[in-house]
Amino acid sequence: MKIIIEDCRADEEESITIRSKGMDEATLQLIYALKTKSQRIVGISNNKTVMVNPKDIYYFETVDNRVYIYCKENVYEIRKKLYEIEEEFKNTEFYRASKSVIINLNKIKSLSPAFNGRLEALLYNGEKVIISRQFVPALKQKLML
Amino acid sequence: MNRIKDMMKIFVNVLAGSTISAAIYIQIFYRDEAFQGGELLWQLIIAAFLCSLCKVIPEPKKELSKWRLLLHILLLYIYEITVMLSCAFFFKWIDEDHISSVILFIALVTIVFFLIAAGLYYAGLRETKGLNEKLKRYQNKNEE
Repeated sequence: MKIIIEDCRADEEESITIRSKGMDEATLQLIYALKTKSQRIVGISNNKTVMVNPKDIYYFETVDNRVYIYCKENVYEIRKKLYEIEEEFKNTEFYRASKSVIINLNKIKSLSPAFNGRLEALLYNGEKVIISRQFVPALKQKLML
Repeated sequence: MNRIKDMMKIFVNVLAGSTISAAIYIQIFYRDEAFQGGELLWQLIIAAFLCSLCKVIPEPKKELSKWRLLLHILLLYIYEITVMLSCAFFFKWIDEDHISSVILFIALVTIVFFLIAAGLYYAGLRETKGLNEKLKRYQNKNEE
């Protein structure tokens, strides 16, 4: 892959252009790496703003119209809607597990069946999150390697 | 589409279970009588269809807690028992005067219900085993 670096004017916004023959997995991973390496999510805890690394996030959850970030031990509030987060983390390890939860697939220790076609995800921090039946096909598709 | 698939699954499961139960029941209570199977088979198909109708009722959209799920299963069980007992009385499968035949019938329906539930759970276990393997591969790939 050829890498071209061009100088830009001081008043111009820095940008990266990817010229690709198609959106293959390598390209998607490159985009994801560019998006997440520098990306931090703004979380709020005890009226303090905290920058959270997406890799540390276990899941996002909506509770009473507020969205929370669940890390290994800490919980932060985020001023974004769940669908916005879903869009932002499209084609990454984040996956919509139910109407109220977006889960980090890298933080799932194991999956087990729950009643009525649902799945229960046991996370590495010991928490359990339900994966709704309607979102199970998307998980299967995402895990197709 | 999923609802029709679920209905078909329940229909086939109940039909298989009730046919086996009927065979056991006939063997115990009607051993000496000639078997008139044609009508009974249609009756079993009707009963299985009525049991599968439980999937027509829309499921709650919200995620249910463990206890509410158990209540959901209990209500499903009561529905299936009611349908099967009604069919049993209507089609004269059981002798109302003999409480033992009613008890055995309920026991057989209960066994079939829980066998189907266990079968579905086992199928889910097998499926999640495959998913867990894929998940591990996905995580390993992301670590690279």
